[in-house]
Amino acid sequence: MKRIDMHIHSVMHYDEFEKQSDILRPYPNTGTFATPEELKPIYERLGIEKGVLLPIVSMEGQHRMMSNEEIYRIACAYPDMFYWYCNADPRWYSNSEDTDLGFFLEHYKKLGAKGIGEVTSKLAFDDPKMRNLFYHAQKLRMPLLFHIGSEKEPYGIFDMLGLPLLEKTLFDFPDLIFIGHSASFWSHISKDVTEETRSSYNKGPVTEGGRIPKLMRMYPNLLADISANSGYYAITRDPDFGYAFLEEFQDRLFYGTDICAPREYAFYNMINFLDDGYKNNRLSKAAYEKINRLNAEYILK
Amino acid sequence: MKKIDIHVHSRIYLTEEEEKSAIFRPGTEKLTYATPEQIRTLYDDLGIEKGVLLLSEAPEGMHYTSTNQEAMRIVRKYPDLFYWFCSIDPRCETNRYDTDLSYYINHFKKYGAKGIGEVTVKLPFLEERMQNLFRHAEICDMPVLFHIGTDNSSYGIYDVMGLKQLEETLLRFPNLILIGHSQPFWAEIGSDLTEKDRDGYPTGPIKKAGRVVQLMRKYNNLHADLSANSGYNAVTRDPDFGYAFLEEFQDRIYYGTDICSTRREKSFKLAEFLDQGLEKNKLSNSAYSKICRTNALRLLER
Repeated sequence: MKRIDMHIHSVMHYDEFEKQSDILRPYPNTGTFATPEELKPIYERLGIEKGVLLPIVSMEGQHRMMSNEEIYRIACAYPDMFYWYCNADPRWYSNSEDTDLGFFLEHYKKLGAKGIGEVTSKLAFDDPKMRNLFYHAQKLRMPLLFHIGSEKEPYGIFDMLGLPLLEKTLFDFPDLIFIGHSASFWSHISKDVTEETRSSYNKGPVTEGGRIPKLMRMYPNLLADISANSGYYAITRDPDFGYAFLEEFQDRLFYGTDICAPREYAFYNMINFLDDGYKNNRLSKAAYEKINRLNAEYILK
Repeated sequence: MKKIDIHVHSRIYLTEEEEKSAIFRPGTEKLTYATPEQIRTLYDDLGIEKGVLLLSEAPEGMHYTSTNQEAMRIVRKYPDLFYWFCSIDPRCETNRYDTDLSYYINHFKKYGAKGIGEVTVKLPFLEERMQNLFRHAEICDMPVLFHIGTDNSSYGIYDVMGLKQLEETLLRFPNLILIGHSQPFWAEIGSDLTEKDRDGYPTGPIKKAGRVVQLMRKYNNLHADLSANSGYNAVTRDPDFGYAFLEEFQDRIYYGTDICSTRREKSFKLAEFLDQGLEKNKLSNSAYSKICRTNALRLLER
């Protein structure tokens, strides 16, 4: 079964000059986002049929923006390879709690955007402007994929340790599908997360009672993508726990990559963890298929 | 003499389909940034040869995400029509006060950017990340064109009435050319300003010179662009004062439009005001030439 990647970024260049002049991250070997052509062999290798392109429209923590227009352009050029989400920064236009963000979201929805994200703005979940984005997303029935950030992190919606603001948001917007992601999200799979470890890729056995399983049990509108090293380590750090987690929340988890450059990543091994789990009867066929593909197909209809 | 426009915005469509699916500002007028071809038509009417394409990647107040990559694409396609400034958001990368913003500035400088702006980020001038941007701009010898905002503005670098934070910045970065713009900047041309008028277009005679005049006298690194209704209103609300102001600061003032759509703005009459000043001997030939063209060329053809 071919997978669907719930979380991918990409850029497109029209000629060699554009490629050469594009800005790279200032760290060795990190480059910039992969082009569709660079993604093709990686998708082939990982058994991915299609991915969900996510724009980045908030500059916090980024080396480069990916506008809705650029992402839509890529999605149009590669319809067999991508779905797309649009994005909106809550500070757009009037930069107030009552901006009609629905105007923007609806525009992109009409152009085929299937959701909103990756929301990376560094505002708190309970900031009135952020709540305004949730309000409009819920009204338009567009799922919202988000990156949580701690105070120390350069980007991501801010929440405190224990994710109390996310919980209030889930409660206040019951009809909005939230798709969780990021280190500060997944570190809460384990109860022993601390302020020091919350932004890290924590290893070793998971302590029962973590906030993510709790919130997922309490709020059916919390979904999650298992992309990036954050998702990969959260699920694989304690394989028995990981498989049980995937099994329990099989209807609300999405396979994803979050490839941010054409290079190697530890999280490429996620497919082996999923495939091995299925082969060794640690993951049911139903869970395996839903997480790899069917849940995404359902939400992207 | 053909003018140089220090302040213009644009966007580009690669296909007809893209143009049809363009996002506009909310409202009935369906306005968004003008295309280069639309700008060329406006420029022909206004006697402008070339403009400085400005962009901001900051989300505050925006309806569309301009990017440095798009600006480079536009300038490369229309080299006869545009110079460009790059966008540097001080919150990029590590989002800290010590991010190496020179890395970004130098990259775009290498690809022809002549400055940084329009900086519209809603952080105070003295906020440490904003100060980091000024520090790196000075190191890289790149002018910064900025939009000032108040508490109530949706975007713009925040300052209090009286522009104390701008003054501190001018003092701290004496080798950085700071090009002022926006209502809260130009409203300070007169001293009779109130908090509620800062975001507007105060009218009528200027009885006493305001903070902008004081700051320009005190700090040689403060320059100003006359674009938009804010600049137009400031220098025309009291024509005698306006012409004297232009004369006094003729080496540091730039003609500009701030074209943000295809709409013909009231501020387009600035060209007429300058031309009439010259014709009626209210503006010297040298001030006219510098403001309309040569100051900009000095900055852009370095």
